[in-house]
Amino acid sequence: MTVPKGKQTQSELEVRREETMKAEYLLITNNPKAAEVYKDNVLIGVEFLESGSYLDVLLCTRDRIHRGWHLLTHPQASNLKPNQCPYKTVLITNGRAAQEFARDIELIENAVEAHSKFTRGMKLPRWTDRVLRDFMTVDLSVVQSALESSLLKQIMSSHI
Amino acid sequence: MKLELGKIKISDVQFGDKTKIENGTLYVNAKELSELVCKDDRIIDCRIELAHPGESCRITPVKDVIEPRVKISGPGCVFPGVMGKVTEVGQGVTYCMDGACVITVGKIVGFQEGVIDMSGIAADYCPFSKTQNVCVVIEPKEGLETHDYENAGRMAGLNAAAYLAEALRDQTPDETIVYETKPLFQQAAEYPDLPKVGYIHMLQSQGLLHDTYYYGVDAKQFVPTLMYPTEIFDGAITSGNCVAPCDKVTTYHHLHNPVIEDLYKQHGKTLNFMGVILTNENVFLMDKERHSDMVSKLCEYIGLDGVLLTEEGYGNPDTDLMMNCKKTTKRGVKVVIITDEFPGRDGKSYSLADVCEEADTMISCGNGNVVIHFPPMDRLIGTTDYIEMQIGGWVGCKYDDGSFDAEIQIIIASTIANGFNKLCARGY
Repeated sequence: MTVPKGKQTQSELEVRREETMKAEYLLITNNPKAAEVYKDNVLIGVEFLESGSYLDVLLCTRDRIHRGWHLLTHPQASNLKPNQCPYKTVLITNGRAAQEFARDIELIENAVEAHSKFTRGMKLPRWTDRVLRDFMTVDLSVVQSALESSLLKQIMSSHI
Repeated sequence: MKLELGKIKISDVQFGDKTKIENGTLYVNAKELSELVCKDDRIIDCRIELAHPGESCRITPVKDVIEPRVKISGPGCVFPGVMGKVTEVGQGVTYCMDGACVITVGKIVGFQEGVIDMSGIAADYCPFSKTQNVCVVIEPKEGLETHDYENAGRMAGLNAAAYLAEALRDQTPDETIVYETKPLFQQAAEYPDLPKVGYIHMLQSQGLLHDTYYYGVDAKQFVPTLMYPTEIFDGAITSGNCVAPCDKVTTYHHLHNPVIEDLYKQHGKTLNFMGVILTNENVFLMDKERHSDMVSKLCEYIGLDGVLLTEEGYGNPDTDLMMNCKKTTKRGVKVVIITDEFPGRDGKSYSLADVCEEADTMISCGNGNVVIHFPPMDRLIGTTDYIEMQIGGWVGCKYDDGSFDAEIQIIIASTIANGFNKLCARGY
């Protein structure tokens, strides 16, 4: 599924995406590690909010849902609460929806509300680079656990 | 399936030349244990420390807590698929060290997990302030890949527990409890007039440091299944979850699942305990949909009148919790949810991250956002260097004298969402 780096240019990748896919999959992330791992993936696009926050990822996801995209992963994925990890990665699609639009909105709004509840009046810790790298790994691992789902793999392979 | 659980009561733990149990005291050969743990070349150092109830002692960061158990008769071994062959467990005779634990301590990754105080105000929130603790303090090899280190830490605790458990073999139990669940039709026929009650046990399964293992298999890789309740007492489920100390279900908590223990206490009296439906908490929304369908189908299929439902974690798992509740209720099975709450520091927000109309009966295990002061301690096992980054701490929460303020979610198992704590409603 992943195209080795350096084998194709970005434009070739885009052409291939258009040729092979009906549905599109998109990772919205502020996690540099997730962006790096999936940047050349043929099936999954990356919207990398390089200087964006956890909340920015949620808000960007919310905007996309209002523009017709669907949630594939739970936006509060993992037990790490918003003030406990600076990174967030969400997978969405414009293909087959996992659930009703209203439910997507409910989940993303709940995630935004939870962010507000846990960060109100709190200063984020001064994480070291090493700690930040660990957080990137954990956030990536959570979204990869969805991408390794047998059901999701079948859906993506079928371009639906 | 019938299991006799023999409890050998441990009232003290001391270092000794030989690892053994004598008159209720567990003696630990620290050198032998440390060398065993260090056989894993991913761990460069292992120090064994002991912590007793009432001591001015703080243990942090904590990865897992494990009660040593050993199989005396019957198939398989304790922690099947992890410490031995994947043989079905849950029958025969098992001995456990009642009152003693292995605690795995050391740096984990980025965020750091959990505090256990052996005395003071925070001790009251934690069951492991009341146990004799053998702390396995590990130091990983520099540059170890994160998944590898998580695995090394997990195995260090399980190896230490298996080593100590050998001391149980020549003991005579102080107390024996017999647990039995029969095949479905026989079980239903045994108490035809009592309500048939089951337990939906949701396992954390979302990726690195968010995983649980059933017979050694990552829980996200199975579909919901039926389990004889006795399997859990032999360690069929082990914890790999290391996120959010307050509601982390440690391996100890799996071995002592209070819902299963209490359902057995009521078995044949007020209800007919039919079995456990094991399920997971996945990240892909269609998996959540599919697995909650399967959970509710199993409840209906085996003819349950009611179920107790527990989750592990907050946020994403709340959605599985509600889907399981909604669908199972709609199939005519009464559902009672057991969980903890996170309404924010001011207590003004919703306690759970998701909700549904059918969730009309809930037992709360407490509010994880409550702030308390942790007094200085004379002895520290591990390090408090990371307190500000630990879940429940914040920038500026630590004082020069070693004390700190934090939400009680920093304490291991303080609000554990299956009721193995003191903050839930409890009948005495």
